[in-house]
Order: sequence, then structure tokens, then C-alpha cells
Amino acid sequence: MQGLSDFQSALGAFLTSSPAAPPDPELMRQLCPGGATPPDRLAVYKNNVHTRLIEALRDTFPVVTRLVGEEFFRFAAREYIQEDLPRCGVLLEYGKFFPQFLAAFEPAESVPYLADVARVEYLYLEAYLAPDEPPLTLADAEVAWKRPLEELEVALHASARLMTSAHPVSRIWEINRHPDPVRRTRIPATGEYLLIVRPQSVIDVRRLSPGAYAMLLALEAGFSLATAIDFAHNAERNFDPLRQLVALVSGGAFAAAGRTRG
Amino acid sequence: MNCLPQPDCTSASSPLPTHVGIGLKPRHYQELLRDVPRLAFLEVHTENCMGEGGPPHRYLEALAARYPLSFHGVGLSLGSAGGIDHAHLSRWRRLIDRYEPALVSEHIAWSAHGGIFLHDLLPLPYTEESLVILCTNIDDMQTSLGRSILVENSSAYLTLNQSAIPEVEFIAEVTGRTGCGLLLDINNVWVSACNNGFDARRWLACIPGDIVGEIHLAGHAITAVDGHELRIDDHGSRVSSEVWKLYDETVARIGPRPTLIEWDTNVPSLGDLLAEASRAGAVAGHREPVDARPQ
Repeated sequence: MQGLSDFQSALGAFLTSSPAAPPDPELMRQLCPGGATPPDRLAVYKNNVHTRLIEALRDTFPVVTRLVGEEFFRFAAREYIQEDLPRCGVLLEYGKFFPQFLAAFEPAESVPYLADVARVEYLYLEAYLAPDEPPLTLADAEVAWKRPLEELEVALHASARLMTSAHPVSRIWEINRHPDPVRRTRIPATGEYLLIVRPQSVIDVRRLSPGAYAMLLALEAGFSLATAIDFAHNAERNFDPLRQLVALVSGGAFAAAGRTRG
Repeated sequence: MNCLPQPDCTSASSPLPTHVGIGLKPRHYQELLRDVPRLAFLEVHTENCMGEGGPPHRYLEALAARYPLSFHGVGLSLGSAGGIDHAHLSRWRRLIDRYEPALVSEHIAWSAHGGIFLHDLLPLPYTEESLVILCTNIDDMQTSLGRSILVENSSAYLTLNQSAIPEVEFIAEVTGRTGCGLLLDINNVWVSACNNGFDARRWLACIPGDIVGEIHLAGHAITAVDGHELRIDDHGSRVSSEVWKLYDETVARIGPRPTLIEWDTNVPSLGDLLAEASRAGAVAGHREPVDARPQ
């Protein structure tokens, strides 16, 4: 008699195979037909597995679903499942590599911004689920940032996520995130630098200037505030550090529990 | 085998009041906090709270101050031949430490193998090997969480040729060897009985009353597969009349238990869900007022 591990391997392989793939004959021998024949009964389990994974992806990527339509999304999701099965017992986080998958998915190449919209949606989920912590306030910053800027390391908020896109991806995302019909609208065909952050309970998707983005990227990598401002000046000729820092602190981009060097 | 003490699952000492609770759904958060309807407990799918922070925890903390909680897991895969995932168990432990729920439960099923998580509750052949594996994994969970748990009987769309032990004996053996209790899902019994041709009433009559720590009630769908009727355990509608009847008989036999109305797909309004809860509360053995919240 076959052991439990072999049985679970065989059933697992069948349930994750493409929807049309038939079960292995050895697996069939282990099943006792009731009313319906075993392949049909097995199909119920397979359908459950695939449906749950597709719905999890649809929950995480509602704007991608809206952009390509339900039918195309299901087709893409089924293909993705074949490439990246869940490796975690928490279904909420499934789909981390879906944006990369879409970037290389030939049937979607006529929608060049699709993968970046998916990145916005996954980072939005990460910000939603990130640990809670108090954001740095302007009053905190006044006290904490009295040291020379060369000695200051400023921690981004635990929920903060940074991304760039060659497309106006946050505008596309914004316009399509509500179920109302989209009115014909004109958006600038420019790339974007984005900060996605949830200082309290509301998630903010904020467009940054190239300098502000370079500064946050440097701070995230552990550089001092002085060095981060140098990066910002290189990225943006007229970068105004004070104005940008006030805006970012007010938007909850930093953690209250900042660190200082040395 | 490291056995925890046998839990006392009688209604007098169950950690939850013997009345009716509902499954917690995000669409009801605001209304529950505003109106605080009379309910004995809220049941939470543990995996839905496994993000580190964010709005789900804010709501859960606010609701935990008003209701006892039951944490019901769907992702630990207690029936896995390769053992349970300790990273997942650590997430469980953090939640238990944070919320100290009144009840903790998982399933007699498997959903992961070889590092792949299938996110479906899959059937276990009822053999001595499965029994040993399941009991080892339950011990692992109980030891890690420092408390006894309940395990739920799953619904099945087929029976496995390998199964050598009748399901009720298998369940009684699991509770006896590990000290865990049974979360008796009466809808699952009915769905499995219809799909696999056994007598649900006789099945239920064989379950020792003292192992039952909680009861689940849910709706199911009826579909046709290859010309044969098949019942699908989708938790997407009202509890069926047959399941109400079996619930009534079970409560008459074993006495009242904390009872949950599960409605996970096509989630109704809170009002409709509370109406189902009231109906459960009115069934034999639940004649006292439904409000059993601790003050």
C-alpha cells in the first residue's frame, strides 16, 4: 500500500497541474467512486484549488483585473499559478511575483504599463499589512534633527515602499481603482517616482520629484541625511531639501523611532 | 507522544459560552463596532490576521474588547506527512499571545505538501499511518501554543480506497490520543454523507458527546457532476433544513455547545447573518437568552 507522503505528492501534483491535465492512473486506483466517477470528483478539488488562488490574485490586483477584463485576468492567473505555486500558508501574500510575470507575459505586451500597475497594487498590499508604528512628526524632527546632517540616519516608516515607472502608473491606478465608468481623460505620458506609505490607517500613493525619490532611496539604504541630500541634488538640479523634507515628514514617510549614527 | 490534559468540553466549563457566534467578515466591522449586537463570540480565520499590522488588527483589537474570540485556522495542514510548517506555527503563536482567544481550532485535513501550499482542505485516508501523523502534528501545535485545540471534521467529495478506519472511530482516536476536542461541523457531515452515501444521523449518533467543544453550521451548494448530484461545501447560503434538523437532534443528545454560523462566500448583510444566529439560538438547548457576553 502506498504511504501518505506518496499519496499527498500524487494528489498535490494533480491538483496543481493545468486544468485540462488528467490524473495519474496510480492516483485513480486509490479513489473509491461514489455516484460520480473519480475524475469528476477530483476535478471538484482541482477547481477549488485553482479558483481560490485566482480569487486571491484578483483580490490583490483589482485594477489589473479591471484593465484587462475578468476573462483575460483568469487566463493570466492560471498561467501564473503554473509558474509560481504558493509557498506560504498565508494566502493574503500570494502574488508577490505576479508583476514580474506580467512584465514577461507576451499576451499582455500590448499593455506596456500593466506590470507596473501590478507593482503598485502589490506594494499597496504590503503597506496595508506592514507593522504599525508612529510616524515622525515635524515636532519630533525639530528635536531629533538638531545634530549635524552627516550624523543623521533617518528611518523610513515601516510601511514605506518606493518604486519608479516609465509610465504614469499612479494616475492609471487612481483612475481605475473605483468601479465607476472611466471618463475620457488626458494624463501626462511621463514616468513617475512613487512613495506608497501608510502612516496610520490610510494608504497614500504619492508622486515624488526625482530628487525626493533619490533622497528616500539613499536613506532607505542607510546613508546619512547629508549624503541623501547630495544624491537628491544630483538627481534634480533645483532640489529644495527643506521644503521636500517638511512635505515628507507631514506625509508620514519616516518612523518616529529614528536612529542617529555613532 | 507528548499529550496535553484532556480538555473538559462540557457546556458547563467550555471556554466559550454555549450560545451562538458568527464568522467575522470585514464588511461587518463597522456595524459590529457601532451596534455591538448580542453574540456569544466572533470567529476569525487565523490566516486573515497574519499580516503584521494594519487595519485588520485595529478592528480586531477593538472587537476583542467587546467579544470573546475564536481563532479558526485553515492553513496549518495538520494532516501533512512531512509535518507542519514551523514558520506558520510561529505566526499562530504570535496571534495567540496577542489576542488570547477563548478557542483555537484547525482541521482534520491536509493542505500542504513538499513546501507547496494548496489552500484547500484535502481528504486524509483514515489509516493508522495517518492517525500517527495527525496526532504528532496536533501535539506539535498544542505544545507550541501551550493549550489544547479543537479539530474539525472536513467535508469530502470522495472516499479513499486506502481508508481502513471508520471516520468516527478515527476522530475519537485522535481526541483520545492527543487530548484535543472535536469541532463538530454538522454541515460537513451532511455534505459528506450525501456525496459518499453514508447515514449522517448514524454517524452523528456515534460521536461521543464529551469530545465536542464547538459546533459549526453553514450552507452548501448543490451541483451536478457527470449527471450525479454533488453537494459543495461553499459556506455561501443559509443553513439547509436537513442540517438544522441534525443540529436540533445533536443538541438534544449531547447538550448545547458554542455554535458558529459560517457564511464565507456571498457574505450577507449583518442582519441576515444575525437572523441565522438567532435561529440557532432558538434550537433545543439554547432556550436561554442569546446574550452571554462576559461583562
